[in-house]
Amino acid sequence: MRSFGGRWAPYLYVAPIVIIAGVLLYFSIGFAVYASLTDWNGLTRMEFIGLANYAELFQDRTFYIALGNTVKFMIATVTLQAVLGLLIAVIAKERIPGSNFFKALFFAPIAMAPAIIATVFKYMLEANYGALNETLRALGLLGANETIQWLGADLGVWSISAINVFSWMGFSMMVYFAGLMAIPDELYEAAELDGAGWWRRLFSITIPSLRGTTSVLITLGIVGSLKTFDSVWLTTQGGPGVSTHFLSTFLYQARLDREAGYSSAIGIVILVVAFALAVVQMRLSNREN
Amino acid sequence: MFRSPRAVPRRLLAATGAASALVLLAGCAGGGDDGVAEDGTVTLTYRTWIPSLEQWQPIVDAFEAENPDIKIDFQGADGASDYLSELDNLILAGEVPDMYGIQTTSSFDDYAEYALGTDEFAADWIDGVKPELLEETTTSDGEVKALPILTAGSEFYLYNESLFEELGLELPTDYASLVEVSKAAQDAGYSSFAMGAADTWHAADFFVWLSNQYGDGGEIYDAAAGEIPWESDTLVEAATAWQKLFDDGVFQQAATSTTTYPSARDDYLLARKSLAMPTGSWHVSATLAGNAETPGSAVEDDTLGMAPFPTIGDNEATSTSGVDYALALSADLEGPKLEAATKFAEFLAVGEGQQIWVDTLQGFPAANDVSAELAEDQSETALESVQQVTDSLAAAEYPRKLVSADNDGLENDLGVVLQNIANGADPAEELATLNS
Repeated sequence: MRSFGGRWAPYLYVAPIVIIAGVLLYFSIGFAVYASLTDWNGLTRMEFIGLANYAELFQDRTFYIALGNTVKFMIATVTLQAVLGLLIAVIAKERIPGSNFFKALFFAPIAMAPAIIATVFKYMLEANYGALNETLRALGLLGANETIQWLGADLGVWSISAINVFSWMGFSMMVYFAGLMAIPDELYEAAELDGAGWWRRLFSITIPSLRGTTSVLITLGIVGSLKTFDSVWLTTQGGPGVSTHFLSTFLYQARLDREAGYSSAIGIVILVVAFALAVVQMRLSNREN
Repeated sequence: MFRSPRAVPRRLLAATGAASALVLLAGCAGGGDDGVAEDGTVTLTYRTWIPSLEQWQPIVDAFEAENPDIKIDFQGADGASDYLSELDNLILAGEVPDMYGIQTTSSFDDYAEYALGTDEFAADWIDGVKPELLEETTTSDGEVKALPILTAGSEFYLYNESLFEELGLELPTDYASLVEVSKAAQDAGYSSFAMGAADTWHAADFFVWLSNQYGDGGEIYDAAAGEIPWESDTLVEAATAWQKLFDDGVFQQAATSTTTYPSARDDYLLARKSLAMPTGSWHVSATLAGNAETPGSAVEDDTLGMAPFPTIGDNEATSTSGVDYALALSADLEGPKLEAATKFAEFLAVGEGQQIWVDTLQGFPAANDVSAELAEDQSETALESVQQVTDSLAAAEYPRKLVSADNDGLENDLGVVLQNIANGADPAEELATLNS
């Protein structure tokens, strides 16, 4: 019997996704590359200016602030989410009373829209009447007319990181928990017979066995950090000044300022950074394996 | 098991044919391409960020009562910046709305490119619009491309008169009394003037108003045009005064993390946690009985008023003013749709629609011989507030918005610089970063 498509069958099978991805993704990337080489206001004016947008970008102080904030956020959230997620997953696996309740509790933020979480935190972290500062005042840890500017220039990035950890730690926990279930119990039993304690089993069996899971979470964390937008825009909008801009909000602000060509250049830089970090991470992971 | 390869194209052709027929039928059912239905009704699309739905309903009701054969497909947006993003997308998709709201900022020319010149539809009645406002809706090529509908100005403050009285305070009249009132409010556990300095538009509006109180006034417009450096003595003096407002506690702590809407309004003034909030003339509507904002809030039973912000600089403060909202008609309009859109434009610019909208105090009239008509049950404070704002706008000397040919994002850039100055940065160094 002659099969569908003959020797073209493999190509026909992948054609739909290639066409969809080609139109939606690669065309968009190609257009963004072209737009980044122009002085484009998003509507009418579009003049080819070569690499001028990139030259301007690498001299723009806001770019370095946004890049620095994105890197700080990436390191803080990837590390904290992995460490806390793993610890909670390991504790949850111990089947202590109430562990299922805590698993559900830590996972609950995943079911909430990031926009809602960011808005609630914005009210909690407000300097004058926010719940956090009011609590500190009630406990006598903050004077009546004193404020801590949780969303100000100094603490803003760390507060946004904390919001992200709250939002996504449950996801790390569940991924680690699934990984933990795949580790044979015999390994732990053998280690116990050899006299290994809880911490020794964690560092000698659990963590090495979850290397693949950690690698996936790190890759997801890196990509997630580069596209973090809602929790920043809904809490600080990149301010005060430009102190809490991330690359994604910097891009958006440039577009709002009708600098669509410049905004495209920022987008291309984000794409290159994301690609490079993903490649580095995968190579490191492969080397370890 | 695979189907015969030949069956697939045949089925595909059949499905495509059926879909095409449906599309054609749907197209026929909707009426002709000229936007006129079989019963003669013309439908116009209208995209804008104001009026709000509450304000729009009486306007459209009055218009459709006069013109039953014209329907308006109205779609508002959540703020001007969201609206502009949506408008950009529509324009790029080749779907310019029949009528659209337009701002008289640096990007005016961009949007005006898709608009019909007013001489093609409004020549007979455009003299009903205040002529000085038409300058703001004129492109750099000298063509009037939009109709001014509402004007607005800065800088005013909305205050809680009941709270002032409770604390035994008088409205401030100069900088010294501004500081004194603010300190008294803080001592009583309230914030003073809840400034939404996180909004770059508001920081910029305030600074434009403030800067005209130094030197000969008006230097900021020269700086925006690139004719003088931003770190000129006058502007540095104004920026230093701006910084002092934060240092002296006139504005609340962390004001650069507070937005005007909703934070300063909802979390401070309407939550009865601040004495007042700086804002623009459009917010005088909150002083009126029957306003939509105060019911259900902590100030529901209080009396609110509005007054011009006291003088801070060397020269007497005068409000800034300008076209806050203009209406453009698509350059693609022709035939019955153009005729219908012209009727609506006239209704909103110089007719009954102008009066209805102005009565909500969302803005002040762009038409000659129109003034807000208020209900008789207004408090003395509300009437006085409206009068003060009206008088102040009538005496306005300078435009509210800066226009730059080189930098469409100047307002945001200036706002960022002002936030940095408010948080302690050197005024001259920060202002110098605006030089292009």
